[in-house]
Amino acid sequence: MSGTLTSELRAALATEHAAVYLFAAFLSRTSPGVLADALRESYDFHRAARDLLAERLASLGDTAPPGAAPAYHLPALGTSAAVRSAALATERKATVGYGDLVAGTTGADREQAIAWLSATAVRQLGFGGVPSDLPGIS
Amino acid sequence: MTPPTPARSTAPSRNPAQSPARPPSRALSRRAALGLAATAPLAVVLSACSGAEVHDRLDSGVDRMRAPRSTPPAPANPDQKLVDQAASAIAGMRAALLPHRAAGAVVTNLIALHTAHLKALGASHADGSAASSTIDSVTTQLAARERDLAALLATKAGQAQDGDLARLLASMSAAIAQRTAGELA
Repeated sequence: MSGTLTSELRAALATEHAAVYLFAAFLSRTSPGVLADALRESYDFHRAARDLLAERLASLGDTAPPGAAPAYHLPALGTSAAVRSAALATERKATVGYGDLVAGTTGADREQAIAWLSATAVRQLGFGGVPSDLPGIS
Repeated sequence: MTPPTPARSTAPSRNPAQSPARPPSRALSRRAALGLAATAPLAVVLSACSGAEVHDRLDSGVDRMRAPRSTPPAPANPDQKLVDQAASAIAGMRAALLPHRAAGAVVTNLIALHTAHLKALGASHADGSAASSTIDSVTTQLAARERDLAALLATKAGQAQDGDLARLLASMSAAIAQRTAGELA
């Protein structure tokens, strides 16, 4: 089991746990509509990513991967704009995490991270994000 | 592992941009530093003795100074070919867009993006030949060609030996994906 690879994957898994929690919270505070659909897409994405990372760590022999925290800090979510802003911040953080995963992995793990980085950068647009020159870096 | 939901098609630190272009001053200063490192001990020894001892030690020092002093060449960057290929592809896309910058903000934004990416790769002056340059081909095929470029950069990111270069290329690919999903959709 590669220590570096495992630590990279563990860090990514911890980020996914937080993202899943947060998007579930965002969804619970949003009425059906375009924003809710975008939130649902992000929630499903991060759940799938979380499960894949957990499986990957298990395949590497990691018997104690990081679990979800009991709770995560929730920003004020009183309005749709606030939810949108919080969702954008969460996706931006995830994009940076995927960049770290790209840098710290090789082969299929890196290819996975590359795809995730791109997809997450695109999803930012659904929460009011604007295209940047180097998503996940600047 | 396979991606959860998204298609791979739109796919992106030690600063990798430093790898392609090393400042010449670094080599010079390193040589100077090595020269100092070679002569400084001699100076210390000479200051601590005299007479024949100095002569003997000086001879010894001269012999030492005659030893090869050249700095070993820096190892070749294993990613240089990959960087060159990525830069060439980006420069080619930029060259195809340049004649049509008056076509609108979409084109000028893409030119700015590709220019920024070339700079990040340390390849601001990379040559790229435009595959086609008619306004029709540029506008009607723009999204498809940008998607091809994003896919190429994602592939190169997967191949890079340097992790930070991989991150940079993957990010560039993601930046293009944002355009193709937004302005070009």
